[in-house]
Amino acid sequence: MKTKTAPVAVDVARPRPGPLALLAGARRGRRKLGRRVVPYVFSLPFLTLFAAFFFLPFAYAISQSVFKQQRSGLGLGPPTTIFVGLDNYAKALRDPQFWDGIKRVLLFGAVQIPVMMLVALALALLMDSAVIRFRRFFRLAFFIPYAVPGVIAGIMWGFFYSPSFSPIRQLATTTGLPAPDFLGPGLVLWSIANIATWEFTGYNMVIFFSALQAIPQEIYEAGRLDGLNEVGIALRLKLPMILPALVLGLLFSLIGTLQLFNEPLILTRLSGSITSHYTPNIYAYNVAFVDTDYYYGGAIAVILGLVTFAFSFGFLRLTRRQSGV
Amino acid sequence: MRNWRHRASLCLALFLGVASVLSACSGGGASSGGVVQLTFWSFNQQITEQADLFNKSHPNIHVTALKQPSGPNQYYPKVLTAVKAGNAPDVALIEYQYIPTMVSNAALVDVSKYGANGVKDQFVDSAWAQVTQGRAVYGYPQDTGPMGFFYNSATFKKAGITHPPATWDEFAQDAVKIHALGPNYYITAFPPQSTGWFQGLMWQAGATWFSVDTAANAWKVSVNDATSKKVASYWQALVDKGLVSTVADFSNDWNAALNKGTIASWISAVWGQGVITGSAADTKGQWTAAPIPQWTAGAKTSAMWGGSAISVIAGTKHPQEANEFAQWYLTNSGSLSIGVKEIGWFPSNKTAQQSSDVNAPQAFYGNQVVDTVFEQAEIPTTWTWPPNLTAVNQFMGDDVNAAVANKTPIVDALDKLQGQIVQDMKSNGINVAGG
Repeated sequence: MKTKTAPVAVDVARPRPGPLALLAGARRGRRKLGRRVVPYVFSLPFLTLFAAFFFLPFAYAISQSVFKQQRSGLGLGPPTTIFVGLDNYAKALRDPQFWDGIKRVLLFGAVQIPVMMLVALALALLMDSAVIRFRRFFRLAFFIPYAVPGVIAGIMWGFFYSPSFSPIRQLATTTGLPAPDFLGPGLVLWSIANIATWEFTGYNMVIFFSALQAIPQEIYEAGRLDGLNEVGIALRLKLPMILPALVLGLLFSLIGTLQLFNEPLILTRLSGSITSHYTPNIYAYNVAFVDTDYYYGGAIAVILGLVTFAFSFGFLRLTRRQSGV
Repeated sequence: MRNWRHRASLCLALFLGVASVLSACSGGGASSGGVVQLTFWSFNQQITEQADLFNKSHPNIHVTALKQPSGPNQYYPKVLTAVKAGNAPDVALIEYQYIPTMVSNAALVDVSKYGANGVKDQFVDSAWAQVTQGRAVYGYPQDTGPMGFFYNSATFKKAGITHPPATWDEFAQDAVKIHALGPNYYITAFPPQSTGWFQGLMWQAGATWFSVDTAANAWKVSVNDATSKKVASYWQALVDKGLVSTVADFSNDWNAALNKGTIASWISAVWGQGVITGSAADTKGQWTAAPIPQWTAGAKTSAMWGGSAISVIAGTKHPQEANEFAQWYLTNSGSLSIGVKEIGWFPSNKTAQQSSDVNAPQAFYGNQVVDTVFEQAEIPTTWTWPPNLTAVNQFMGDDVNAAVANKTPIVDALDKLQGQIVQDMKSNGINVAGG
């Protein structure tokens, strides 16, 4: 679709600025203005959504986080709202329940992210190799869990974990093995990790796979000529070439881990081991909406946002060479 | 070119979509064509029938009834958040224990100025006391929740038990007999997350977790007194011996076990009869209601678990009409009849309490007249609900859950809870006696 744009007629009207040329100049000015405005018009939908769903809520959370509700006497009268500056932030930084949640999600990420990344990478390399048949089918099949909303995944896995419905436990009982207590204090974090892995492995696989597809075939040719076998090509050619995609996948996983919310919240009803401060996000939610302390909840949310930002930024700095960012 | 136009229109559609979503957020409570629009929240399914009845006889008011989820820490946070956001319902069901919490969040309208006291005589005094605070009236009493004991007589019979346990000692002995039927058989569940239930058991034993020291104008919090620790130790022993299940009440596992008869009883409030009918449909005819087991043989002491008021919610644009609906809802014979027959209220309205609906035999309970069992309950009146109940229940859920999950003493959880509640009250500026 290569259409040659006709030269603009007014461009010739250079000498002797007559009325016609003046008019042309004005038109040119308008055109220039148009050129300048167009990019903004096109980014308007993005900016609107960004402002409405990211910037404004964040600004609102910050504006709430510097207040506190104050009651008096028996606390049966309506509360007054007082300005407390950064008190809520100081309280959050000293709040063991908040840090308990941060530590838990970091432990979760330290185990779950590498496992998920390795599985996703292995699947992507398999898909990209010649040994797989029904490639389209498998690609779709692995991706489908990502299309299942996290809440639904939580409910579904809840059934697999539940003491009386779990087919896994029933299988264990019939074969005489001890039935694992998926929702007990020892296992529940890893039961959640399993849900997250199930949900997001396919998603990461698709990212890695599309990066693999973008590698020009000639490079493999060259590798083979230099005596590399398929494994060698995978490890020494493919892997380094999709590093930016790996970094991207890791970054998204890191953010998702720090924001862990849906899956543990759904399992709360089934497991006594998931507290109201199990993850920082659940804590912020419970403080704000169950405990109705919107102000302190706002402060926790802002700190969590900053911690997530610090981790993401630090990670990008660390992997600057690999990611090309 | 076509492609471009297509995209542009898509962008426009998206943009308009977002704009309309944003503008839709600012609606609500409007009156159209002279008809006042009201919304009503409750967690009963049948409220739409009642609203239809009201709408038929009130051409100038239209009530939209919306059933809400009743899960723990779901409903009240939702109401309070809606009040804060300015899109709360005009009328809502509020359980008695949450009234002080709602009042302290300025979420309820005092309906005494709309003539609430004019219908005071139609309600039982003890229930009316639940909705009043000084001179203010924060709604109309719908039903009460005296606690009793529902048991599956088939399972009890199989275990060789002929009569329901009259005391907690007997209950513990029966627990052994029922567990002897098989490893999956439990006399009942001790649901560690069920805060209102456990508070009811404490109340029944004579504990007073919350009371007001009027001289000091301060709250007295005694969550970890000797009586409460006695109750905690009692259940601790049953949990430790594996004689009770620790599955969450209202959960799928719990429903399934009730339906199979492997969880053989439920210590619950009078409204629990409707829950069992739904959860354990296969065991129709096997259930029986009995008074709650006693700490002292021969006593009739019970406690309240739930019981609700219908309140007008702050921020309504039509308090007059909202009050009219709330009052109608609990004084109109048609509405009360639906409430008693279909929802299963143990009504606070005197006329409804005398009606044949309340005293009808029920096939599910082997044609027992269930409600009469609850009418004899004597409920200690010192227990007063605090203004920070959502926080209290959040702490309590965490602490008792953790104790059961990690096999640490429940009495220690009560000590911890005491500290957390006192600290929460103080940090909110509420006076606490002795602290």
